[in-house]
Amino acid sequence: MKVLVVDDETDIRDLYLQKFRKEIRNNELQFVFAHSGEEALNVLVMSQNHLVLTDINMPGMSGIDLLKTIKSTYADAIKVIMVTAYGDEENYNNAINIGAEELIPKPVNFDLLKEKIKIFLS
Amino acid sequence: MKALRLTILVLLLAYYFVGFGQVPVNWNPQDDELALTEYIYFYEDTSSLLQIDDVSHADFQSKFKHSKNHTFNNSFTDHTFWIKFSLNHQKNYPLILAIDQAVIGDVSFYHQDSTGYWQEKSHPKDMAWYDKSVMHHLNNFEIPKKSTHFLIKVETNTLPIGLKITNKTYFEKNAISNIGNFSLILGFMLFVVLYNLFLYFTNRRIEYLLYCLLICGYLVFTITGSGFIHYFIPIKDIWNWYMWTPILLQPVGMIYALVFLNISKFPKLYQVGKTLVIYFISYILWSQLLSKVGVAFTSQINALIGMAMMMYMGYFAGKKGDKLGYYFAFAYVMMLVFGALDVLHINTGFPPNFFGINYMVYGFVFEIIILSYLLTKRIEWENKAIIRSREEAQNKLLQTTLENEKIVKDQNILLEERVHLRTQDLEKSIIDLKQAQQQLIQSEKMASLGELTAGIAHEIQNPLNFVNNFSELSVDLAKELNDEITKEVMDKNAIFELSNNLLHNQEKINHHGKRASEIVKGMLQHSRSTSEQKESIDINALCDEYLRLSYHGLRAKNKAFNAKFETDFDTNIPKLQVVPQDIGRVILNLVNNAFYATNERKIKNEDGYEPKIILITKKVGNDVVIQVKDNGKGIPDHLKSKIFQPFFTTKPTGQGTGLGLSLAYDIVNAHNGTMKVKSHEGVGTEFEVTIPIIK
Repeated sequence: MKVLVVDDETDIRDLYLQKFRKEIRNNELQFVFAHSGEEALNVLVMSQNHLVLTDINMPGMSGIDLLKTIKSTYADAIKVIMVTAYGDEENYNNAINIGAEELIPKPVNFDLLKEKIKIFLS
Repeated sequence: MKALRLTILVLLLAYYFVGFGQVPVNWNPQDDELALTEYIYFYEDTSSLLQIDDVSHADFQSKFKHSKNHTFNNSFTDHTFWIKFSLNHQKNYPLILAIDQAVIGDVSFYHQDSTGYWQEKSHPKDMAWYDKSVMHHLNNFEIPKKSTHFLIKVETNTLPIGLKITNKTYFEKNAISNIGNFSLILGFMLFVVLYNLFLYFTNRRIEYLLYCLLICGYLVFTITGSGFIHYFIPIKDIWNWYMWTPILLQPVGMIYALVFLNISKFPKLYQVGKTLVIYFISYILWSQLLSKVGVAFTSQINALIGMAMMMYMGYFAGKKGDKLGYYFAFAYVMMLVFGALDVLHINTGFPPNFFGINYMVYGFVFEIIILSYLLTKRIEWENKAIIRSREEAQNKLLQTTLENEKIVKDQNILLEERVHLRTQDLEKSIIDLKQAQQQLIQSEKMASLGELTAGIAHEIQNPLNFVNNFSELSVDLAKELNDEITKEVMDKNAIFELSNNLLHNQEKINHHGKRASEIVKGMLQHSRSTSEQKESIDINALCDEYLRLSYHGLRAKNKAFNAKFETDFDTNIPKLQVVPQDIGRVILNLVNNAFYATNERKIKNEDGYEPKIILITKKVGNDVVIQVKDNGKGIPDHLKSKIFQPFFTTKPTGQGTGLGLSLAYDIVNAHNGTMKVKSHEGVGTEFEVTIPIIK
């Protein structure tokens, strides 16, 4: 299963790779990284991904815009989980209404995230 | 004594019946003179037509009245008087009847000779002194040795007449000494006249001439009144001289007093004085309308008025500080005193005359002495007064100058105090203004900080998240490492990988910790108001930092906000010497404004509009140029000139202080830089900040 992580912070990549290194090693999960919404859409066009983990607050295209585009383009073929520091009600409802599966607050509880991803995998 | 009285009574009665009706006066041979007036009988002939035969007639005698006074004073009248007296005298030495009055008309002396016939000796009023029966300026008659009864006919001309019988030797001795005394006085007066005339010609001051005239008047009056005038000129009618002299003299005296006492200084008194002068001059004319009696009476009243006025003027001038005045008043007081003595003497015979000269003459002399003294002293006093007034003026000037100096000094002190106070006020105002400015700047800073809070929170949250995540991850890795180490067969590769990851994570934790710390430091620097220290900074890093802060701040505030931002940093820019938080504030303000402008345009829902800002740095010559470009709504032309003005804002009330750009402008100026703006409404805006690179 291929997961696209979208975040303007580059170090996020290290976190994911380390946290999910067993899953990666076991080929259970595959991670792709993008640093902006625009880059993420390009990545999605190039390769098939099953799950997108996106930050909301990014320069240029925001996470919400990305979610809208993905949902309008791929509908439910691609699941989207929002990861944001702004885990407030408004954003949560907005994201869920648009079609996000989950909204996970920052700092990311990777154990919880792992559980969620596993649920999607199954 | 009783017997004597009885004898006199009997004799009196006897004579009365004999026909003359007169008790004879007894002449005591030891006496030098005998005042006759209390023994005489008189008859006032109002018609002036009676002859000796009429009045000597026995039937006429009852018409005579007895005079009991010392002087024969017939008050104001110009009638003819008949006077009769009888005298018992031893006939072995000659006696003289002296009529002691110069101002008198025709005088006739009658004595009854042994035949009972009345013999007449007549002195007409214009008779020369040497033609008189006794050569004298007055009228004197030798009393015939054999006669007992006498009659005198006089035209009195109103003045009192002294009648005396004197021993001829005594009379002659007196007459000569009188002339001597009088000559002395006249000589004195003449001397004064000449002296003052001399002074007048020397000084050309009118008061000396007036004084000469006055003394001349006194002189004429004195010689007229005493009869001495007969020695100098033949006199037809002495009465005219006697009346005219004071009439002419009075205005002169009054003018003299006005001039001498400088009465013109006192307008009211001067007016009264002038009026009196006019009155006296007019009197010269209208006195001619009066009878002799009227003139005599009026002249006496005028003399009193004049003297009183002069006394008062003297006193007044004295009181006003002119000491001449008191002397002057004193002279006229003495004149009055002597006048009074004269009147007393005329009426009572007491006090007796000194050296046979009237008291009035002494009055004149006294006055002349005092006034002459004054005139001489006057020059001296005036000079003194001039010197004194000059000194006073100088003193006054000096005092005024000193006072003025003091005033100027005081004013200066006052002015300095005021200037000092004003300066203090101004300094206080400046301090207050500075404080207010500082407060405004601070509030602007805090306001922008408030705008940043969310951005900052995000910026701090991100590294903190990393710190947390990496440290959690490290805990996991460390556990795995422990597990691996405790295995019997250690997988060295696994251990190496784990420790490598751990190392990497520690570096990340460190990196993100520092990052958070830098952000906090930046925030503190931003809010700090006092630090103006220039530091060497990387302008690109500063731009990036504040761009992010701005972006996240706006995002936090407004969920709907978003904009693309690009940076184009020139990596060749050397480190800049600037006050970091100040320049940071400039960048923040420009970027904030740019984002705001794009958002404003975005709200209008233009098709295909993508909000975007570009932050560019580049080195141009010795300057660093920072450009902030946006594709926002642009600035209308009419507002371009205002955007740098303090408190100018287009934002809704409460959203902007209007100080941001103004402060930014000041900051750039303080760095010797420039700030320019290019904008097209509906296209975008470009701010360009140029800061010189100082090495």
